[in-house]
Amino acid sequence: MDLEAPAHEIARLVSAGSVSAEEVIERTLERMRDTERLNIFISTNPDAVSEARRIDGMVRDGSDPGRLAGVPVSIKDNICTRAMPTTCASRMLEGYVSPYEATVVERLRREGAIIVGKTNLDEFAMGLTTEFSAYGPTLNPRDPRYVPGGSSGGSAASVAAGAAAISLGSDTGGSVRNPASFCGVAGFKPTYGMVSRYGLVSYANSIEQVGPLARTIPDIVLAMQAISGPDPRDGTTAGARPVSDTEDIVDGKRIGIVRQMAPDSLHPGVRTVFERAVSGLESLGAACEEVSLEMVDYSVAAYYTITSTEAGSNLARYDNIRYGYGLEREGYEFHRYVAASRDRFGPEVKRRIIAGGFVPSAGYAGRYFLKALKVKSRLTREVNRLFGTYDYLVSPTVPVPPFRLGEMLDDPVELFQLDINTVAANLAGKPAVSVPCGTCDGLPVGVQLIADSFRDGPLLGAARALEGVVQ
Amino acid sequence: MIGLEIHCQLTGLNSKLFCPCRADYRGMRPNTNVCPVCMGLPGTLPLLNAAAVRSAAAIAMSLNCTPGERLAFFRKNYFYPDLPKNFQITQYDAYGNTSVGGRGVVRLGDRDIRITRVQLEEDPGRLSYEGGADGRATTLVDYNRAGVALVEIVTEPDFEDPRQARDFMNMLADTVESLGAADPHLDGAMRADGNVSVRGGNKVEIKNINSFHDLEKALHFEITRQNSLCDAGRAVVQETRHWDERRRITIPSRTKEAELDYRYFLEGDIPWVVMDNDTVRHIREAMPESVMSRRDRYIRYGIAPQVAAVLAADALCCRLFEESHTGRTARLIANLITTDFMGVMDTREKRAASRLRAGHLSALAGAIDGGGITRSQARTILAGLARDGGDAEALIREAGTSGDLAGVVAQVIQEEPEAAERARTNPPTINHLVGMVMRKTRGSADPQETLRLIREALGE
Amino acid sequence: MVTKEEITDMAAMMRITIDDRTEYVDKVQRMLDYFGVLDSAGVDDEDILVQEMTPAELRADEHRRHQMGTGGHIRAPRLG
Repeated sequence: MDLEAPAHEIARLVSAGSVSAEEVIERTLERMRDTERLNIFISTNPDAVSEARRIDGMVRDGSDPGRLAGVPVSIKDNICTRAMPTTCASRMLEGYVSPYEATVVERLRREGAIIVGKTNLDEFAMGLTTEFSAYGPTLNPRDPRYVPGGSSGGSAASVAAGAAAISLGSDTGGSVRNPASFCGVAGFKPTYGMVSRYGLVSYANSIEQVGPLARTIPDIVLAMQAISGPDPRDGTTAGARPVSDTEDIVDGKRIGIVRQMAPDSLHPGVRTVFERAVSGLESLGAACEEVSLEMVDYSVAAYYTITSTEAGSNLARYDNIRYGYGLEREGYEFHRYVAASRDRFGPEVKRRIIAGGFVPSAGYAGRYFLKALKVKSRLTREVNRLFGTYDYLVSPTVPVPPFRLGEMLDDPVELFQLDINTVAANLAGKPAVSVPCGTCDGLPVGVQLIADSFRDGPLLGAARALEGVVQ
Repeated sequence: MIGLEIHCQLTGLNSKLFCPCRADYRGMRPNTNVCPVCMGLPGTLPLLNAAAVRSAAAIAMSLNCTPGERLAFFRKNYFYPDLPKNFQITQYDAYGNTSVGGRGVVRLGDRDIRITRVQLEEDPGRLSYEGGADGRATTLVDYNRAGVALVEIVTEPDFEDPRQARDFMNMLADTVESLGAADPHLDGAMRADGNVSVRGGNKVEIKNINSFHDLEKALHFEITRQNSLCDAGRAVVQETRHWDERRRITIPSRTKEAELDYRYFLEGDIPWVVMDNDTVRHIREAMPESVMSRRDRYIRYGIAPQVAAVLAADALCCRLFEESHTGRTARLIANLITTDFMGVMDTREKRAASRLRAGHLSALAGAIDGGGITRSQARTILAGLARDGGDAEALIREAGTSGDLAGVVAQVIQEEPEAAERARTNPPTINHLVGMVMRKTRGSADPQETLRLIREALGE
Repeated sequence: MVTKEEITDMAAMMRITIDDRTEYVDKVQRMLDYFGVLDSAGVDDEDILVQEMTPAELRADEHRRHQMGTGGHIRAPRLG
């Protein structure tokens, strides 16, 4: 049994009784132990083996174990699970166990998936290196001197290291696609409202989505088939249609190369991989030409304006009153107690909360928040207009190849610039996928495809074609 | 001038504004009417209650406010132990009218009261305090109320005196009750804050007023306080004050001004609700007639304005009225209800328990109209029916015999004015009148009853 | 430019204790300065686009009991 096998292959073998889910999970747990030094997981599911046995029992009884039967899945630790704590990699939520399970986790388990553990992330998903974690940084399985990207760095690393076949991350401004690119796996950010966020701990709720990571696009499709579609517990999913089977056709499609996402300053190693991918798409019959998205130049500022505002509000509930950690209340006045308990947030989270206080404050409201909303709206209209002509947009996922740990930590604004190619899809609510397309000095580089809203299925088809042609 | 900011819980709903917990939390043990959503647990999302939107829009329309074409929700951010998320989901008109109700005007007596806006929002939890006078009290929090749907109604400063403010509250209470949106009599279901300014001076906000009665008292106190300051040549400070129920005064509240930056911004978890014409029309069609238009309609029946106002404001009495009158008997029945019925059954609770039915009223009105019984007999019969129920026709027949007799008595007195005058001054001569009546009824009248009726008619 | 005092005040309002000037004041200033890029986006006339839903998509008003209640008060520190 090859742990690098595709999820659909594992599910097929388990359902056929050729391999037991128990064996798959035992071997996965072993891999998790072997790769412990990469610091991928925050917690391991104590019930994984017994759940695998239950799946094997269903196979023996002849009942349908689901299309993800026995598939080892890891979950980013900002998605609620009952069997394990949900810490958001923050000391603020140390040991917090959710009394309910996220819809996406329920849906995966209903299809027979086994949750093996919860993966590391930048605290509350704020970051793109997985270095801002209370549990220490995750290392890149391709080369442990490098960051795995983020904020779903643990998820991408778990899939790259064979410690899970599929992982669920969350993508607020590239948090699935960026680590997918850095770890050499596929990562998908669905259309806003395509996948339930019930149980995803909110960072910037108006633009983020839960998204799957896997070693290949067909496994992304498999995961999307399980998790996508309306959820009565998330009012923003009312318009969702589940992803159905996809056709990997790019022949005759028109693809726009976004000029602002592949500027002259693009890293040469990334450019090489990107151009090869574009040639690959053309070789399959796609017509690729340069297009312009003027608002991209303002998208990162708009993105951080909106995310810090929403984060400042979303994280206000962590006051240690209704749940939290043991901080003695004796002698404290309420507001001083709340401030004292919130000292457990890490520096990046604190900075964004403070900045998030300014943006919507009375003196600032008109200046930045409304402008950011307008940039978001103009960008959406620009993108919509392009989709009147083009089927897909293409760009490098990240403008640089993976970098070393500690290399980028110091300047927050410099770090922001690395989001330039990914935030547009979040602001415009469009589906976007990162496909591993090659390497630069031995380190993975991903290429991003973007489609129009609710064209998630066709987009994944195009991604599968791209994946095929660059191999 | 006085302006009001009223919060009305939608107690008519089955569930809270954003989750399936009960809207009616009263009488439950602390923190048993809660779920992950209203406790603000990580990962939870608000799900807007369809009926809350309908009820709130109906209240807004009753106040002649137009619902926004699209309804948006905003977050009002501040830290307080009664707020599970440390923000409140409410409405805010940052991008045009996106509230359940925009500007409107309602007529109150001879005044126009302008409504600034009507908004839908969530109620916070309830705080109580435990512990010593040493100031080391613990705050006890019960989240059973957290997330209950509230409608906030803000008026312009259009009330000249506290009595008008109270009249407005009464009108609003009747309105929400007749809409079935809320039971305004439930403790804490309707709460008001007041804004008071005198002689064009600064505005002072008064919070923590717990009853309609106290509202009037608190406003009176505040007006007097501000007037005395002005008389003494001192300025009124713009501030928020609390009504101290026990001491019956307003006191400055301790909130710091710096804390009042609520950082409103859009709640992304709730898509904007498109209030298309069909939706608005359906809500409007399902709305019962407003108290005001009902009163106007009653006046058109020829009912005195005072009587019409009293009748229109009480849902049960309105139903009795609508089901019993024939148009011709409208005035009579309105009077029977507002003077006789409301006289013996003088609270809503007593009336709700009463056995009086619309059929009783039609029968009584018909009998009075046809001269079968007198108005005073009707009063007696109605009191009995209201208390015990029963067969109105039988009671009327029974009284009717004496009713006929009363008619004969009246006739005799009219025909024999001199004998009547004599009987007044010299009582024993009354027997002459009795004899006349006996002759006219061919001896069928009861002599004792005849005597009683003559005495009554002579005004003894 | 936001001053150090404004940042300290805002941190207090957000219930965040800041101890290290470089970590918080300087870096937050840099972030806020960066947001100033938006001034040159030229989007003042843009209408904002939002997600919409129909009244039919709202939650039906039904009660469902959840079993997470404690039956007792939650204790918070005294209010100053």
